[in-house]
Amino acid sequence: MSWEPKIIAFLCNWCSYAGADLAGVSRLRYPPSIRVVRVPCSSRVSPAMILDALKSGADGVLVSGCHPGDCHYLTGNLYARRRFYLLKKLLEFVGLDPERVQFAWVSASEGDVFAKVVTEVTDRIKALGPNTKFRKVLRVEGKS
Amino acid sequence: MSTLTEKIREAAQKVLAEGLAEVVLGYTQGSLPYRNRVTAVNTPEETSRLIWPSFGVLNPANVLHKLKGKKVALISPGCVSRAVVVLCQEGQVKRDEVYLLGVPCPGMLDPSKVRDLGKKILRVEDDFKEKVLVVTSEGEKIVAREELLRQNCLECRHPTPPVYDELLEGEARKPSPSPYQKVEEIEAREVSARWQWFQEAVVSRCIRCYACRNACPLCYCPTCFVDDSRPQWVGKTRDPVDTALYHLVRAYHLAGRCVDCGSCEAACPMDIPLRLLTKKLEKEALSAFSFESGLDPEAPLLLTTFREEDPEDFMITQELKALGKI
Amino acid sequence: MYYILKREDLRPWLEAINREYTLFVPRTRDGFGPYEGELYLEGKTRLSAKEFFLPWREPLLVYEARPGALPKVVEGPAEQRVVFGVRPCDARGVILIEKVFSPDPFWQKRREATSLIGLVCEEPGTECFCWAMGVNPFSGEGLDLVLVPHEEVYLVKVITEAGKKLLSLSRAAEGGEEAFLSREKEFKAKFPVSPALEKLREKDLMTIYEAPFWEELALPCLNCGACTFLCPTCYCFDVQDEVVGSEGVRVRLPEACMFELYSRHASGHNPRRSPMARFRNRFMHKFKYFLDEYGEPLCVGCGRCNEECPANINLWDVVRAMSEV
Repeated sequence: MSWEPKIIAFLCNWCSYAGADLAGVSRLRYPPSIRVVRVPCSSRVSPAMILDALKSGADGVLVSGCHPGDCHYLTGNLYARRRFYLLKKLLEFVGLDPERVQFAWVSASEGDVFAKVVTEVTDRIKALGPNTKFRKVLRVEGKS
Repeated sequence: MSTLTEKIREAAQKVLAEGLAEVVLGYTQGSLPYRNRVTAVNTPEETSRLIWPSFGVLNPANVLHKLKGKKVALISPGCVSRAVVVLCQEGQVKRDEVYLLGVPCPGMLDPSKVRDLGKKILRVEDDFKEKVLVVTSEGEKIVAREELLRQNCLECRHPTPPVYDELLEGEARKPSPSPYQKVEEIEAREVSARWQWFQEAVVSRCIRCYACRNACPLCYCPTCFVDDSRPQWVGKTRDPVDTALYHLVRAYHLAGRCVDCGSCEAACPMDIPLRLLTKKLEKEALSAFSFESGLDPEAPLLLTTFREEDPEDFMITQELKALGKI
Repeated sequence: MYYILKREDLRPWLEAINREYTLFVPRTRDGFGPYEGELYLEGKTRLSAKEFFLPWREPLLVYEARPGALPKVVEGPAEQRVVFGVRPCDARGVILIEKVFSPDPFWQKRREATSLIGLVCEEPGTECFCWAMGVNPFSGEGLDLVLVPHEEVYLVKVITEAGKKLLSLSRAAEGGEEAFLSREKEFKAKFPVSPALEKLREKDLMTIYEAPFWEELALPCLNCGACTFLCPTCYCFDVQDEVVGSEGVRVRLPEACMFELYSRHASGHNPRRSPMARFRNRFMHKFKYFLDEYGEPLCVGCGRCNEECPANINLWDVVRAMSEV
């Protein structure tokens, strides 16, 4: 069996989580690579959470929230967008494969978009291979 | 004695005598010719201790939290003034509780560049304009100031404080025409070369002493995320992943806040080029959001505001849309 | 026993040692590493040789979250290691730490597996004050061999049998005692003797503890861990569990008394809450508590703290204030 990446998907409760649900209800097919963490809003996701997922062994992270204008809290996703932009630039800068961390807008009615996003993200991470750079490994021998 | 030192002492005396502040925070001579120390002066008599330093590498705004409840005057070149402005924006300091004695900054010298000039450095004479005379155990050297300046001073965009209560006379350096050159050098590399740089120059050298965090005038969280234990975001050893995570989140936490005073880099006992990470974020904030930190105490912060037209082409949904896939 | 080793014979000797043992040398100004040709002998390294005995990460035991699985104690390094180029101050640091760590099996194992070849400094560094702390770098304390650079040769003093065996791998010839002793005399003359330590012995502990100078001296201190991590005598540690999935390793690692977390209790109470209290503790530990307990200060005068302190805290400012209060 070919290697399937493990992707942690932080989905906002109001749009993307419902979008994922719709994809399921609609029987759309997408790779079984994601592990969903439901969050109240995409702006709840801090960089530490994204990096912690990678550190703990995830091969990729997807954060998805409502489209601008649709946020349940009016503007949470717009704050998040700025933060994610900067985070992505920083990760790129230090050479952490930028494709491993992805951001998306998926509404509650976009089950098909959700399936396509997960398929695309999975393909890209598959092309990169397992996360070896940012995964914590337990070492038993001490350093010097 | 440099004339700036005289002006600083005079201004500090006046500030204390007139009750504009109870304490003056500034610099004094340190224990080595290439070290200066942050000091607090409480009486007009003590002001003779104050100097305009060549090596004022730590930001005195960092000490403000130890003087809570007192009205403090700060000897403020651009980066000190800007750090105080951010502290005001974030509600850590009230603008009327500080008195900013602005200094048009000629830039400071890098202690390690001077240290490398000889086996033993005996004396450093700085004209604060063009030349520095360095007396070493092997002889005297006259070096162009520009060659000895700290990297953040070479890249400084605001040598003259943008906010002050009083501005001393003097000539500031010109704002840097190429503040992001070093950042661009790293950006131009391949992904793997950038990762290698990050591992070699930052991660593997770090001993986790947190001097960078503690030296930062804007790192004031009562509990830093590295000290959290439930969840423990960062392991405490020099594990490369934990150390990388620390540096990424530390730099990120300064996005839109860092004033590039360079204290982190100066404090690092292992000479890690920490500023490159924060400078990269500064560059992005400027280009994507036209934002610069520490210029206006009333302005909103970078991450507590947004614009509808903020960039989103980095998002995978926008990318797929552009490709016609969704 | 004294020997003379020509400078050009140093490399062949190191190669010979490296064939029989695992050899570590100062590779750059930063610190030590396995011998691969790089060699930094111009001065002491930033990171001390302490890390060979109190490593940055020492696994103590491994465990698994599985019914019936018992934790396993980790066996330390088994191979015989030789560390070349250890400054005598660092070696003296090992002796001081040993006063506290001697019953520790992990420490013992590392001590037994490690031989140290010392190298005296050509000139005292800008911030060095070994002799003022009662350290004679020529004594060879804590070392198996001590080398003194002298003109075109190294003067070598054999301290232990293990050292003699190591030296037999070289082309060193007997002799050089006179030159060795005269270098020792010259070196000693470069250090002023400080009356501070004698005064500190007599001083009442609480008088120093409650002295008013602490606040002022601690003001610029950042309470970072630079001084403690670079110090060859700071030995305080933390024990952490590193867990990934269902497996874990319990590790010991250096910890700094300057950190708020270091003295925070599980209840949340912290007896050293203020930055000044933590600053005070570091110096009280080194120059009063340890001095009273073991008769010697917990400092070897390497000067790393003075050189690298970001806030330019100078140890002598503090020691002088403590002794004169």
